[in-house]
Amino acid sequence: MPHPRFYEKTDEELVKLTLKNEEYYLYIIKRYEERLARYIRRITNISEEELEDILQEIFIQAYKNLNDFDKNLKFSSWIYRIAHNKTIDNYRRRESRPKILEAKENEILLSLIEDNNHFQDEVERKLMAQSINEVLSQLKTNYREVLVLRFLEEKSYEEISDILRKPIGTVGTLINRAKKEFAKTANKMKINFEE
Amino acid sequence: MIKVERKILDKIKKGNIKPKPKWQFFAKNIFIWAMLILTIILGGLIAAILLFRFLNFDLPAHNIAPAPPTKQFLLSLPYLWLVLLIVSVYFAVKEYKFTKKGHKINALILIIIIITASLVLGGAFYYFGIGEKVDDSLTNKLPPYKIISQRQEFIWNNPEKGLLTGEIVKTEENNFELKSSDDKTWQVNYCQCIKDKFLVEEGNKVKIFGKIVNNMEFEAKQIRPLFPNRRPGFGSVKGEQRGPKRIVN
Repeated sequence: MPHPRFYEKTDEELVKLTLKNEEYYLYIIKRYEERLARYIRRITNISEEELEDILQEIFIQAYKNLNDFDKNLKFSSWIYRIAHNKTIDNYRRRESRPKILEAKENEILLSLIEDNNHFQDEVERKLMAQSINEVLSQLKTNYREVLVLRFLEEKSYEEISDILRKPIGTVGTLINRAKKEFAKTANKMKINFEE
Repeated sequence: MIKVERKILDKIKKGNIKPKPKWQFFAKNIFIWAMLILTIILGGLIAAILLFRFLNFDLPAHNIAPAPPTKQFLLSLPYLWLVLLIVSVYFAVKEYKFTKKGHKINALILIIIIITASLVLGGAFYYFGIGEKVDDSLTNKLPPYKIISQRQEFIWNNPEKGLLTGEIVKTEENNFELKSSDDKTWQVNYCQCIKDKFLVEEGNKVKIFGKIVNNMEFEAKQIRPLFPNRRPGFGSVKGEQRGPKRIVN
């Protein structure tokens, strides 16, 4: 069993070590399993059992393709891309309904999408956050995805570009459209976040 | 809290799963780039044929034309090659998207870059006569190509409407024998008063405007080279003068 000091290694260093000894892959999995699980939960609606299956598929595919890891990319972007593809494949297979996000997450998302000044106080914010569930569930998958990646996963435009394999300009446009669509859908549903 | 690390590691060990070797990814990348380069070369060839067609595009004089210029132009467009150019650009864009940095460039910019590359390469191919050589080879060796190629000699070969195209096979004082594009032999009479007679030479490919005067006998009012801008050495017209000069009696 490798020493705990390996937790301090960078992703890239762990990849190199894993290619020599598979045991080091444990650290990569430990580092990403919770983050990826959260990401998958945010963009799709699946049971915990299914989630575990998808996670296993993601990490096994990543392991098989470790030699294809592009050093010019962040490892996190690379593994998020695999996670994104696996989740979308699963989503298409199952045609599962969009996930209703946790209220806490929606609160963060809302605060970042909208200007903070729009909200009177914490209580109002929490109440409004509940309504976001309904709005997000009405958005197209690509809009929901960029909002999650940008505002919940806190990825940069460049990282989102690498994860979704879209040009940075397109990512910017997509985020703007997603924000507008979010506001429009909220309006249609007579949900007002500005009061 | 999800915990799958042990399960995954056990799966890897039990299943004897190994990372795919580097050479496999290297070979895949080489293959993608090779396909992309081949597609661009193909696009260049198509562009060369299109250049050959456009540079040799020539409408008959208004007074003897069988249709208005716009209609003639639309009839003469090499649709097959235009469609193939679009297809080659489409595939080149798709192939580039498969490369590691394929997502970095906007699709529109990528299309512009690939079209420009095809045209530049096409210009070079045209300069060396490759475009017309391919077009000629397909015409000679692939009979169905004649029907869809929209080559001038086929769309303009309509003796009933006063248009005849083909190769001069034998010359005499006031007439010559022409093997038309549909492989028929015509006797073409022309007036000695035609200013530039250089076109009437064996081996030249010409288009003739005039009328049928008898069975397989045609009277020429105007003779022009079939491909006025053919590259020298690739079937350009023989004689003292070359080029797209119009010969009017």
